[in-house]
Amino acid sequence: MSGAPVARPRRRRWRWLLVVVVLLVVAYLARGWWLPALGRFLDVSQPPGKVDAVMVLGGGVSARPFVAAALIKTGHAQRVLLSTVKPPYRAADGFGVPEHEITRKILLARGVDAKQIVQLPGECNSTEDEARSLARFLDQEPGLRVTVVTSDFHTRRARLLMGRVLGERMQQITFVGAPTDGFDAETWWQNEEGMVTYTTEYMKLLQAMLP
Amino acid sequence: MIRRRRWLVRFVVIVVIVALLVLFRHAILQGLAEQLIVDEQPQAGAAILILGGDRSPELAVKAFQDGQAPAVLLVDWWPQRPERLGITPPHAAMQRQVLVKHGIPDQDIALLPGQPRDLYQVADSIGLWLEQNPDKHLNVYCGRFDSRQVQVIFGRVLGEQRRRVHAQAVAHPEYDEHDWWCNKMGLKDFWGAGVRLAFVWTHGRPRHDQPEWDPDAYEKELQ
Repeated sequence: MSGAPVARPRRRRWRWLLVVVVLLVVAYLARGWWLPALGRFLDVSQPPGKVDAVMVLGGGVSARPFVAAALIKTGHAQRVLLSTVKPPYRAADGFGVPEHEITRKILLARGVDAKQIVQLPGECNSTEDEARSLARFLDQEPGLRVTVVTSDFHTRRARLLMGRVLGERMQQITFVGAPTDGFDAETWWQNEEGMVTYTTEYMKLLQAMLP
Repeated sequence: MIRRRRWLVRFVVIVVIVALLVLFRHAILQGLAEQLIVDEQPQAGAAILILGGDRSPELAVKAFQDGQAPAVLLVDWWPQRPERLGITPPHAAMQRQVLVKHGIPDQDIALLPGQPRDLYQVADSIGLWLEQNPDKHLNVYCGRFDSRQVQVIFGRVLGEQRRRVHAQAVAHPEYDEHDWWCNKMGLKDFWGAGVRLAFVWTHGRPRHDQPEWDPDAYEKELQ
């Protein structure tokens, strides 16, 4: 009789442990379903439509400028807006090349006319900075319809942050996703860089969602 | 009554744990970052390999000018799309230009054999170089938080030759293990390095069999 009150909580504790283990096993077995779903959640891009300009966000020079150039060449837009990305560490000493310069070179090499490229003023160090940069440009050219080109996994956060800065003007903005070599929403969790990229993106998204 | 007291005990335990975490947050966060770092004693007279780390080129220049390193090796990474299409010069060529500009003679800069796509392939290339240079050592400059990952992979690939390779954990100019959580780049770097290290521990060599995105095909699709 005296052992009963001790035995019951211990049994309950084992039951909880069992539930946790079962949940972990189920999560592991079903990883091919829920991990791609998490990947797809980040992508809110739309099929390209006709707009006035495309804006290339900083980062991902292996794909984003190529997508922007394709949109220009196929007549989906007339101009490319380039944000001025903060130069890397000690770029002035020649220890690094500013990213927007690389993007510009890629656009030119892919057949975009130099006159079609508009460099937005103001150094950008984040998506928020780029949203402010676009907002300033829209102040000068209200009514301009813009497609924002960024990596597909970045579109949800970009839309959230741009929405905060642009408000009502978000109706003029659409998002086109650029792919990433080596992984996508379906396979990110099988790849080292995919794992780093998607988990970091989720942390940034959570941070962006905080007031 | 007993149940209420049990909840009270649990609540107090949680409060104490949270208070300890807050109180010792600096030590905890620093300790976590230190798990990612392996900073080995540099070998005097060894060649330098620049693998990563924002300050590595300037540190290599300084070591060369101080007479501590006879040569600098660069990694000729597998080219990214802009390089493959000839739009931007190879990363190693740009690095070489910078080193020459800062006073290292061109003949004292060499490329590691091969065009590695990941750290395992870098380790393969280092193994080849060590075979070709049996009496030489290498001081490998890498990102501070990546150094543990580098050490694990080099240990796996190089075996006995590992003794001639010395990982130097180069700190970022704006943060290190003492304050990484105060810097946006530091947070990103710490997280990325942690995930990569976990991936290395749980996976073998990465495969590179995923077909690459084709911008020309994409453009055709849009027409």
